[in-house]
Parts: sequence; structure tokens; C-alpha cells
Amino acid sequence: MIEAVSAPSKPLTIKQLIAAGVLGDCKVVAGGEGINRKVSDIAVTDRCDETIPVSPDQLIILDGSALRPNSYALDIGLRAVRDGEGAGLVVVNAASPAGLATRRLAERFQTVLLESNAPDLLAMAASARELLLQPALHQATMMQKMLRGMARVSTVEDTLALVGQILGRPCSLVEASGAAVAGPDDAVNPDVLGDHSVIHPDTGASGEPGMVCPVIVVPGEPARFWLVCILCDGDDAISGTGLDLLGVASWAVGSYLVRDRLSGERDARHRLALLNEVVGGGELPDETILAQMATFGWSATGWVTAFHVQLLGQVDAAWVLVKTDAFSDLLQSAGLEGPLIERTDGWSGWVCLPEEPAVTSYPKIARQLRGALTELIDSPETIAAHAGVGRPAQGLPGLRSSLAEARQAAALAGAGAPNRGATVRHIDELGIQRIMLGWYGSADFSRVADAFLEPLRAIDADGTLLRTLEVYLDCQSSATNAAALLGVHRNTVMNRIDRVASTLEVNLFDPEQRLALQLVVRMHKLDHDDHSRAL
Amino acid sequence: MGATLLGTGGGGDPYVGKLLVKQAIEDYGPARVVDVDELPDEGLIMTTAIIGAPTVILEKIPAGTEFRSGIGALAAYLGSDPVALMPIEVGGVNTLVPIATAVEMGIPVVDADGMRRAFPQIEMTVFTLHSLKAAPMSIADEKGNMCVFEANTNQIAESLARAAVVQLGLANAISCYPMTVADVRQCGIHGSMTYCTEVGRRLSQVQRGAPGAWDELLAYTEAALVFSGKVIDIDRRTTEGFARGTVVLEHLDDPSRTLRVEIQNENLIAFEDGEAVVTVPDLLCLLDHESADPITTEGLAFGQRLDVLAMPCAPEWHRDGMLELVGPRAFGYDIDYVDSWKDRR
Repeated sequence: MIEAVSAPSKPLTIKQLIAAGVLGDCKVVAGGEGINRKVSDIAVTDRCDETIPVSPDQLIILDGSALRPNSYALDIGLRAVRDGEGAGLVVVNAASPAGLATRRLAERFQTVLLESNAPDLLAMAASARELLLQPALHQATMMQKMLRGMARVSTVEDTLALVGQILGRPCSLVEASGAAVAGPDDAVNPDVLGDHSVIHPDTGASGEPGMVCPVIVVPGEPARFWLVCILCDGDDAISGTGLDLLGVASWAVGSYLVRDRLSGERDARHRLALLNEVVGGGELPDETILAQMATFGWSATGWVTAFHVQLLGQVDAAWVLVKTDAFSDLLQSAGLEGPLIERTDGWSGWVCLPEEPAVTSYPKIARQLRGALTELIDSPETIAAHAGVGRPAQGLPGLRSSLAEARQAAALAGAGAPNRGATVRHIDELGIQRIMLGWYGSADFSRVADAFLEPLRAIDADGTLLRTLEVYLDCQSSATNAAALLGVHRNTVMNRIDRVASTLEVNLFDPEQRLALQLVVRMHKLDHDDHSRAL
Repeated sequence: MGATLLGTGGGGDPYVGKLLVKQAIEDYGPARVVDVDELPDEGLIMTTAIIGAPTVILEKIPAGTEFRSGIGALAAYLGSDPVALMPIEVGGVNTLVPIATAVEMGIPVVDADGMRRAFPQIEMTVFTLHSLKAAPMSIADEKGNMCVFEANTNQIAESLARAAVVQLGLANAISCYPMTVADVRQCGIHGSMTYCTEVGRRLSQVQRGAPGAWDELLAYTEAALVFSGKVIDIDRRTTEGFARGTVVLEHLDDPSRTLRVEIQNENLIAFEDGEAVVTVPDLLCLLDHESADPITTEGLAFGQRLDVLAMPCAPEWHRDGMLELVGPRAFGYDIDYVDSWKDRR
């Protein structure tokens, strides 16, 4: 058990040194205003002239036994201490007290002048120095505990606990939004999360001071995680060392995060490879596939209902990986318990039931999936999800067919969906729309569509005409409805449609041309939503 | 007045010398001060001065006979009579003693000396810088006791003289540095009697309140007013044969400023804020703030309001060996000489 190191504080003051008795039988002769000055070091000298080497905050201990009474040398010594920004001057074993001139000078310089009697000047200096070094020793002790403790931890959570135990304050790992990823669940003010370690007065959500240290996972990249330790009043003592401790811990946490990420990516690749085998991309026999599925804890017994989730927007494979556990938990909460496999652009998964689900339950699973997705992508508004659900079928062949249907349903869901939020379609509810799947999956049609729309794109850099055309066609060629949806005047819609028709040389009163144009527009939308047809 | 100022607080109170001169003039006629160029090169110049402790000299008034008898003893030893007398130091009582003795002997006083201020030891003269010897020299007391002795160095001469003085009552007549007129012409500080007189005259004008007199005094002496303060502490000690002391002045306008004046028979060094501002051999003079009376170290008292003047020493001092002989370290102060008039020389 590692104990919290409670202790000494910031550098000691002259007053504290006197109170501790390490300066012998000591009294303040003059310059008492400087008695609360901090002392960083002790220096002993037997000569008192302008060449005394004085460093800032150093307390000079002078052997006064050789001084003449009322010596001018003390004035010069005081000046040297003042000029060197020393803490003060202690005259030990002087034959006579300091004269008025010296005392007045000490007052003028606000440099504390002490007189002390000590049988052994060097022993006195050694005691004082030992006391002064206590904070440094304390810091070294904390750091030593940290380094020794790190040899025994191997996870982010254990590292946070170790730091927390040494500092006596809880420590957490937070992401850029200020939400805790590991450790105590206290939120953190995201404004304090920067590229450098800081002690910030408003770190806590309630304005508490705290220490913040970025975790650099990949050198050169901006930090995505931060170690945070909220401080209490009077924690000045640990803050300096605490920041150093967090710095050391951040290296370990960074390496653990990389390790976990690499491990997760490796597992995801294995799972994805097996999923491809399941779908039919590989050449393994079913028995082998089932055996491998068993090693992952996947089941395809009974009635299998598969789903396919396609993410759009600012997402990448790392984001998918990071959110997999959260999504899995959300699915379980929604009642969808089963394997969940990460893909580069989303997830695939399925649920197994011993009995064939009723047709009336199809909307329910779509609703459950939508609920989980909505909650998952709720905070980042730049992300959209299109999902499809396949019909239930039995065994591994059923899983294949259900996955294929789910993929198709997801593609169709994306075709007419908005660019944000979650859209979930069940393959069974698509009906006649499934006819379109052949079109939407065709690379040739995609090229034809692109070429056909080229004249329009040349005059429509911001996509206004194309968007107007899409809405106009979706509104059954109603300029009034399209104008309401677009928030423009009906004449504007008509004017734009006329420009489109003349540019593309199509007749929108011809049903065949209108159908072809709507298909082209749908295709274009799918392509530009970064849909992958190689599902 | 000038002798007191040039005494820089020491050198003995010139009042006794003034009485001696006055009496001598009444008895033997007026004093004659001559320039060294008025005398033959081979003529013998002798000196006479009071040696001892200033505090004893105040109480033990010279009889008047010891100066002439001391000179006589040394002249007999040398086999030659002096053509003129010369003060060793123009500053303090010893500025006037040679005048009284010269009047009595019927010979002139040379307008020159070896210090143009007061110093506490025999070897502290520009003559020493020129390797002129203080010995042979004579010491005489008022009872007819006297001795003449030789010494290899001027430092040994000081030690022998000091030993004799202790036995002879700490207020005696000394005659040393016997030299030719040519030596004085080459090595002495010329015109120091005139300088002393002019300083005294200007100081008198200051005391009379003559318009511009203060500036005139500062200009003539190249002096600087370094501090005006009230005496808030006096610490006097007599150690190692010296009257040592420390005087602390509090500035009249800014009470947080203090000036420490270190004394060894004379005012030697002034420190402000732990830093030397005036150092020996330059002159550190204390004047009464109201009356402009020069204040001797014995006359310092708590509560006095004083002006502290710094005056440059005679330019003849600025030769090799000056600092070793009369610099701060020669008096036991481990600090460097502060040469405030370097640019003016």
C-alpha cells in the first residue's frame, strides 16, 4: 500500500528557521520586515566584504568572532546580501552587538540581520541546511514512490490510482470535452486543456484549482487526453511536484493508451476478417467459420437478425474503435445483445433468437437500433448514421442473407436521409425501393450520372441548383412545396428548375426523363455522402 | 580655522598652537613665511611637531621649551643649524607649532609640508614616497628629557618614536625629516601654508555669512558636500594606540539614509548604504551645519547637525606607493580607495 506523502511545504522562511531552533540562540537585530522571506540555501563565510558570493534567497551565516566591535564590515556584508538578493545575514558569535549604523542600514535595505550564539557554527549551518532541504527531499520521496509504483502497474486505471495515492488527491484521465475517460467521474473545465502542463485556478467544473497535464500519445500530434488532479486549499505544497508526477504518469498513460489502441485494432482486424468470411468473401468451409466464430464468442444458432451501421462525417477507424464498447453497451441496454464487429466506417452485428420473431417485431428492432445510435452520436453533431436491418433467418446461411439485407437497407436508408442524426430502415419496409439497389450499387451508373450532371456542376459551385432539383423532384414536382422546404419563393424554385432543365437539356414534363433525372440525383447524393458501394 | 579643517577631525586642537604662536610673536616679533625658492639649496630644513595622543595634548599643555630643545639636540647631532623650519603636517596643531618655534629661533618657516592634512603616523608623508628618511630624529619632553636616534626605515622610526613618547608622557616634541632646501623643493608639498590660510579665510567668510562664500570654499578646495545629517550615534574606542570611533549621521531630509564615518584619530572613511563614498587619503571634514565650525573627533556629540565635506588630498600624494602608505588598507580597512577626483587631475 502506498501512502500519501503529506508534507512539508514550500521553501521555509527565516522565521520558520528561527522557530525550528536551527539557528541557535538567535535574535532579530534589524530588518525584521524581511523575516518572512523564504530561504533557498545556506552559505557560511568567515569574511565579510563585497565579494561574498550571495545567490538569491540565500541566508548568509557569518562567523563574527573576528569582527571588530561596531565593524563597518557588517555594512558591506549587508550590502552584498542586498545586492545579491540574499535572504538575510546571520552574525554568529560576534564579540559585540551590531552598531546603530549597521542596524539602520538593515532596516533601510529591509534585509534581516540576525545575531546568534552557537558553539559550533558549522553544525548550526548543517542543521539549517538539512531543514531547508526537507521540501526537496519530500519531492524526491514522492518521485521515488511514483517510479517504484509504476513498475507494479500496467493499466491506465492503476496508474491513476497510484498517482492519486501518492498525492492524496484523486486523479482522472479526461478527453477534450472535459469528460472523464478513466478515474473519478468529475467533469473538468475544457478551457484549461492545452498543450502544456499547468496549474490552473479554474480546473474543476465548480471552479476548483487543479493540475492539468496533456497525454501525448503520438509525438507531434495534439493531445487528445489529459491527466487532471483537482486541488484543495492549501495544496500549494504538492502542486509543484504533483505536476512532475503527472508528467511522469502521462508517459505511462500514453503508452498504455497506445498499447490498448493497437490491441483493439488488432482484434478488430481479426473480427472483421472473420466477418468477411461469414459474409462469403472467403473460401473457408462453414464448419471452420463456425469454429472460429466460437473463439470470438459469436453465435449463429437459431434465428439471426443482422444489422449494418454506416457512419458519415468526421469519423475514422480510431473513432469507431473507441466507441465500440460504448455502442455495445447501448445496444445491450436497448435489448439487442449479440456480436458487434467494427468496420472502418461503422459496425455490423446481429442478434440470435431461439424462435422465429414475428413480422410485427421488425419495427421494434429498427427502433431499438435507432435509439442506441441516436444516443451514441448525440453529442458530435457532425456525425450521421445510416443503418439497415435484415430479416431474420436461420443459422449461418441465415446470418449471411440477413447481413446482406441489412447492408442493402442501410444503403437505401442513406439515399434519402439527412446529413445528420440516425436513420434506420428495415429491409422489409423498403418494399419496391429494393428495386433501386441494383442502380445504387452500379459503378457504371455512377459514372453516367456524374457525366450527366457535369454541365450543371459547372454553373452550380455551391450546389444550390442541384439541391433545389432534388427537393423539387422529391416533392412530386411541386414548386410550392419545394419552396416551403427550401425557404425561398416559389418563383425562385421555378427559375432554378428552368435553369437546370435548360443546362441539362432535359424535359421535366416527360415522365421518363424525370425518373432518370431523379435516379441520377440520388446517385450523386450517395456518392457525395461518401457511401461505399463495396459493402 | 584652516588648520582645523585640514586636520580632518584630528591632528590636535590648533587652539594650543595658536596660543604658542601668539606668545612667540609677542616675545620675538612677527613670523616670516618664505617660499622654498627663497632659500639656498644646501640649507638645512628641520621640522618640529607635537607627537602623542590628541586627548593627552588637550590636557597636557606644552611648556614651549621642548620644541627648541628637540631641534637643538638634532642640530647638534647633525652638526648644522637649520636655515628654516617646516611643518610636517599642515592640519591641526602641528601647523602652528613650527611657526612659534621659528619665531622664537628667529628663522623663517617654509611654505611647504609633507601631508597638507593630518595623519597619525610619522611615516605617512609624501617624503616617504620619495624615500626620504624621517631619521635621524629627536624626541624631547618639557622636563629636558630628550633622545636622538637613527632608524633604517620610516616605519621603524615611527615605532621607536611611539615607544619613546609612551615613556615621556604622550605629549612631546618631535623633530624629524631633516632635509635640504633642495629636497623640500623636489619632494615637499609646496604652498601648503598658503593653502591652509586661504581655506581658513574662506571658511571664515562662510561663517560670517558672506554671499557666495560657501560655493567659493567648495570651488577653491574642489570639495563636495556628501551628506548633511544629525549625529545619532557615537562609538569611541581607544585600541592599539589609536582613538578609533564610528559616528553615525542621520540625513536631515531623509531619515532612512545614514552615513557611517570611521575614525582613527582623523576622519578616514565615510560609508553610505554599505558602500564607501569617501576614503583616505582624501579629506573627510565635518562642519557644524549652522556655524560651519570644523568639528574635531573629540568635539563630536550626539545631536550635532553636521555637513560632511569631501576634499581631494594634495596632488603630490598621487604617486606609486600612496595607497600602501596612506590608503584604506594602511589603516586596516579592507576596501578599495574611492578616487572621486580622478577625472579632474
